[in-house]
Amino acid sequence: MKSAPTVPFERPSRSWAAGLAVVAAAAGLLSLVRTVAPVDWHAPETEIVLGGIHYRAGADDLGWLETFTAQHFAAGGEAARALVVDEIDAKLDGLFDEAHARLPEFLDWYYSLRGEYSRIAMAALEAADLSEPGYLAARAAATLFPEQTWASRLAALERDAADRLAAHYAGVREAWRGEVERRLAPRRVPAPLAADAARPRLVLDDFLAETVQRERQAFGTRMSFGAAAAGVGAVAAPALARAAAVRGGRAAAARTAARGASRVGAAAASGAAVCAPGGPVAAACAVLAGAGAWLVTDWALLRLDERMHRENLERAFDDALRRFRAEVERELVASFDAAVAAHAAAVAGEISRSFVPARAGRPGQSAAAGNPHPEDGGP
Amino acid sequence: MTALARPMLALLALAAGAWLVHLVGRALPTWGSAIAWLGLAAPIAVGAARRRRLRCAAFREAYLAPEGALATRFRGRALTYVRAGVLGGILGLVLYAALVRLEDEAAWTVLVIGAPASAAVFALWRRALAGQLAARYLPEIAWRLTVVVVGLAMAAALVALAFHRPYPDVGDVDLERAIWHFVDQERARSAPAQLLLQLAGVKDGLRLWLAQQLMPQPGLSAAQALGWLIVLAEEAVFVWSYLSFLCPVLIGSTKHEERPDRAV
Repeated sequence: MKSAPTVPFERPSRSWAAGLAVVAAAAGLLSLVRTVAPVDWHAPETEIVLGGIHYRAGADDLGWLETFTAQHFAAGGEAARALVVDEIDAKLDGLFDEAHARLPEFLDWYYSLRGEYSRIAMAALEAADLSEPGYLAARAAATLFPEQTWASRLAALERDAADRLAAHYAGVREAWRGEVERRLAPRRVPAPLAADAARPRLVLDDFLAETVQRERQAFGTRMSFGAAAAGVGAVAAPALARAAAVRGGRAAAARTAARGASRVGAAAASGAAVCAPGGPVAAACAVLAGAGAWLVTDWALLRLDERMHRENLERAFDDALRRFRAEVERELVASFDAAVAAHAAAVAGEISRSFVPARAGRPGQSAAAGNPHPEDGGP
Repeated sequence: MTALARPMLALLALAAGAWLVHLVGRALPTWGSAIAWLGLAAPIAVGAARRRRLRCAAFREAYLAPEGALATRFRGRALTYVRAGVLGGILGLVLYAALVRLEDEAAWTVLVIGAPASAAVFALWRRALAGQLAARYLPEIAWRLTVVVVGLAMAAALVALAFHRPYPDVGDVDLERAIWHFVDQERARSAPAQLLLQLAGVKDGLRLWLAQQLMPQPGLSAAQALGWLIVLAEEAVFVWSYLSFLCPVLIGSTKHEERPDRAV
């Protein structure tokens, strides 16, 4: 049988130099291991949190998300403006329809003796600086727009418009959320055990909460609308004063001229004719007869004036009401527009701020560098 | 340069190569990752093939007639290389994922020291067994004993390090979140490499979740310690892969050892 070949022993560490070379190489490698950090690779994916659900979005999804968010909320703002205009238009229609319905009541007062003498009395007081000017316009405003009705209707208008805006913006947010969730559904991931400091994070729940907060700030308080803040007399009277001045002034002048010639003569003639055989009560009789003749004359002249000018005066007040309505609508729309625009700007700013970490996750923009987590699993 | 220093330096060079994989493994493109994987798998496959051929040669010499048909069939050619290639490919993937994910400096110290230590232990075993074993089979036996000694020491060190490593608390979360936590940590430039690292993360998540569900906290109880040792026994697979990566340097070329007339 052939003997097994022998193996010569290779004596270890025969040379100190060789041993030192091995030790130096090992020490050098250990030093490198301890000092040189591995090259990390940061995934550009951003963590998105929406409705407590976590998603991962790449550059394409992030770009789409920011663009879609900006466009969606901008379109929502535009729709809000149209909605406010519709709401204001509908509410003012009701308010001014009632005012138009009360116009005959005002004209009846205007062409009544009580109205006539009230105007004359207030004109006298006004001439003596004992009363504020514009009694007729103020009376028209008070009749057409009762103070309580005006205030409550405007308050209701503001409240309803704010409610519709709130519902509208809630719908805008829900539509946005639904679309984003649909788009990101394939990118859903379980909630991490701990936040990853190195990963860009976009918490859309915070963005939505901030949007709601800003919406409350924009629409939660009453509009700074002058018509609502001031009384109806302060805003409606100047608008109606032009109609009252045009028609009322002309009619009053005509009546005053007619009365100047007729009232005194008619009263004197009536007094003399009725109380001629009177004796001791002739003077009193003459006064009563004269007053009666005065009133009858006034009444007759008022009826004549009404027959001649009532339609014109009614048309003038119609025009004044239309102008006043347009003015009120313009002011209300401007007020809501300002709120909607401020809200849209706030949301746009919030989008810009919220998407800063998302932009950091896109290629070409560095994310915050992070160290490996101590809890990272070993091999 | 002595006969011992040469393989020691060669093994340190291989260890440096493994560290380079750790250093840049996450940032390599796919083709770079493929080259790195081949760089890990090829030595393992070569070592496995050489050992297989040594065993075949020993078998032929012990049991078969040199000129017989069976001796020709048992030369260990294509099938040997196929098996070695498959083994090298699989262990290369295991090693790639493990090296890239090995963040612990102390563990790297174990790997670096383990490389020259393998050469020293291998030389000691060859010296000790030279007079007792057939020269043809001596490298294989010396290698096996080296794997046992060095491998156990390295595995013990790595298990000890892993035992004291902080882990996230996944005892109160569901399995999906636990696994996702580990998968989410893995980032690589190459998509296949990232998938490989994430699979390793899945394994870690599953292992840790099971461990914390079954054994809430590591303690002094012998049963719990044993359980954790089992849980962490995967370190042995990693050590085996690493030592297989170092193997061809120590085993050397076996062609001259396969032929009796040129046996050492």
